Amino acid sequence: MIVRAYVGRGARLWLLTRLAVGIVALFGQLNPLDVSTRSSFGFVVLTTLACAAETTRRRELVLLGNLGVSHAQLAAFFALPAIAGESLLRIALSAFVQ
Amino acid sequence: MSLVLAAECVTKSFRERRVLSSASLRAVTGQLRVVFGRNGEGKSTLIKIAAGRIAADSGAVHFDGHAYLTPRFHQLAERGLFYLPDHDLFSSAFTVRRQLEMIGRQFDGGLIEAAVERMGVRDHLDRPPHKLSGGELRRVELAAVIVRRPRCLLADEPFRGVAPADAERLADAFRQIASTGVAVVVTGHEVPTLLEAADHVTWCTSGTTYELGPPSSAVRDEAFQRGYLGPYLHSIAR
Repeated sequence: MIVRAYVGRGARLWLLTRLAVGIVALFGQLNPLDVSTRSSFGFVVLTTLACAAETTRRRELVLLGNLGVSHAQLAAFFALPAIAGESLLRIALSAFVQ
Repeated sequence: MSLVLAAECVTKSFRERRVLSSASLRAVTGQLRVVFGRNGEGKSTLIKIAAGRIAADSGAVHFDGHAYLTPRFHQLAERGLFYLPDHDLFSSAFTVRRQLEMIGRQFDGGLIEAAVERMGVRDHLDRPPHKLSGGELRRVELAAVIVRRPRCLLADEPFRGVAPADAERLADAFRQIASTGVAVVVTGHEVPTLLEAADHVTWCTSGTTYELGPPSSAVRDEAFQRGYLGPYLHSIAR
């Protein structure tokens, strides 16, 4: 239940981050769907940081601590959907190119 | 009665300011212990260190028979600690029911229905916590404690923003929780209410703590009267 809630947040924020950066890239005449390793790593880090900021803003760290969730586990919950999303995007784009 | 949690000889400084120079905190099975102290004397810091929320500069925390030089909050929580912070516990992102379910499922806890019934918050189950009043929030948090069934409960100023009538109800709830064998430690300034409910009083002042014993002994302590009780003496005498 905890995993579902926080992985869900990670997925939402990854999507939002991708969308926001994609729009900015479009304006800068850059590739909005850049899936290079460096870019994907950047999105994973950015999503994890955004999730951490959201969790801190909502003051959820004590609740999560009381649930026995460590900071490392929480970071994994946040990074997981971003990693999965980036991998899927890369697979989808390479299939599209072929 | 056995010692569940002990934070011993704790020191803590924030930059140049030394908040705790040699403070201790103990939680004993079945007892409601109250920590009094003026604002800024280190009560919250001490309770956070005991819960593993912040690291002490020196000292050790013993919990459930294990000694920790650098206790981690989530480790202690897994072993049976529950910490109520001096701000709202629940997230505004989920309903009260969902958060109680998270606690219940994570620890194979007690029944949510029974807990909310006991705390009189059944009507608030499907509301987001930020729509509740201070008193309702505190009662919902205590329902979470009942669902969790911890071995030790540390509550930092749980009576803040609560009307006197609600404070009495909360104090009764803390007493009931302690009577089920939970080691309870509460901080606060609601002297008459807390003295009536407490089994033991600890005074936190000038970076150290004094174990004053049961409330009847504590109120006779002259230094405690001078240094903390002051204006409350009349209400206690009554």
